[in-house]
Amino acid sequence: MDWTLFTVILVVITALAFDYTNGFHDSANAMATSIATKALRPRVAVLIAAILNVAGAFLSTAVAKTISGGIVNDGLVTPLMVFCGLVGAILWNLVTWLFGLPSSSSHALFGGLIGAVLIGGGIHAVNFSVVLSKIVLPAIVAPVVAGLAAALATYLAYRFIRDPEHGTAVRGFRYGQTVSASMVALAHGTSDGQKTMGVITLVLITAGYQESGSGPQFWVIAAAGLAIGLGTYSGGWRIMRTMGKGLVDIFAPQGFAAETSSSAAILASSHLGFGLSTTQVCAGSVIGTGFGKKLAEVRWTTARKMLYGWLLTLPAAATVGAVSAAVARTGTVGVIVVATALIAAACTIWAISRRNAVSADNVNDSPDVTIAPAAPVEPAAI
Amino acid sequence: MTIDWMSLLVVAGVTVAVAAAVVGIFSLGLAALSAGADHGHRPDGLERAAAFACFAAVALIVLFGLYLIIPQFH
Repeated sequence: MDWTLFTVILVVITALAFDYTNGFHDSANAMATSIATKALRPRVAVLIAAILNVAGAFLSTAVAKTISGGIVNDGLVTPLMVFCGLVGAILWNLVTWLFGLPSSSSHALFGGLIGAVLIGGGIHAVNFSVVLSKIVLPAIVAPVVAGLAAALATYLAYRFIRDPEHGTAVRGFRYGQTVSASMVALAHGTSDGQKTMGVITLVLITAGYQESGSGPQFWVIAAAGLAIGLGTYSGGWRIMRTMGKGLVDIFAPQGFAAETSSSAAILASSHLGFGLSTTQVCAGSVIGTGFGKKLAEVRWTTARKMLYGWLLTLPAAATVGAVSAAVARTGTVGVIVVATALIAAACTIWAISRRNAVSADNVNDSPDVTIAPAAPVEPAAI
Repeated sequence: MTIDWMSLLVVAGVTVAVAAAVVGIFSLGLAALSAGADHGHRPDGLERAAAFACFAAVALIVLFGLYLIIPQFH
């Protein structure tokens, strides 16, 4: 088989796999607070999120002009490097999912790419000042801003209403949550849907299967949309649990405040041309609502674990991307080794997750996600 | 490396303002609807009108948000 065709097919399959992991990772961003406050039932919530994500992906076809937006020198990027970058991103998404930690799929993708390009193209292929201004700076600013907005919004909700957690008020907030959660899902679909489409299209262009400068073909849009939709519907319940209950014990007014702040932050920044991580913004909002309500409890152990995860995302994904690139460069055997290793790792991670599985049916039962086996149920003493 | 501080500030300001406005106005609407609930009476005409006005304002903001999200509208 023609080597170029082989690498292109490899990238397309891996990109769609990444899109699937992106889907279940970000499912929680839109819906975790609504599920935790019972504004929506779990399966209904992820169905809505999936539909809106797919709709958003179809609506926004303005594909990024460069895969990375200036972070790496695109002239030096080969399909094989993209493959290795995706491997790094997928692996990081899976590991953080296992531990139920919300983390940025966008950062994982950038990290993986940076690592693969560092090995494949050398240090000059990476534009570190763009890394700083486009990844690091928004990563610090966006969640903080969203948190402040959510804190203020929550404070107002509890100030204006006497008993916002019962009666008409709480019902009203739950209705509001269906709208605000849908906004987050739609905004997420329009921004994240095009990541994978852009990657696939650019690889098709550089491999000569498509005219330079043309937009994504319909099958690319459909495949990417389907992948992210299916991923979203699968729910990412481990992350859902952390986002909805593990960080802050959320009630409906806080849920509404968090989702509204997240939508506002995502819309405002993308309208002004800033990219940001929807995951970090949503997590920031959730924590912010903890501050806005007196006596609300923020589970700092979980929040700290999540923050460590965020700090590790770029370096960890980059490391895996770099190692994959180093192995894959050796030839066809190297590429097969990397692909096999990825599949093996994915199966292992999935098997570990089954020890203490989180699903649509038990997502609200506890705030914790562990990989220790679930304690056996003691038979009742007779 | 140039950082566009002005745009960052605008994003921050808009986010906080919009979130506070939407949640605040929505809460006022709910407050109007649940006014007197502890006295056991249902909201009267004035309270219902006030609530309706609040929810209408929030709906307008949401529609504007949709306008921003959907590229086909611009």
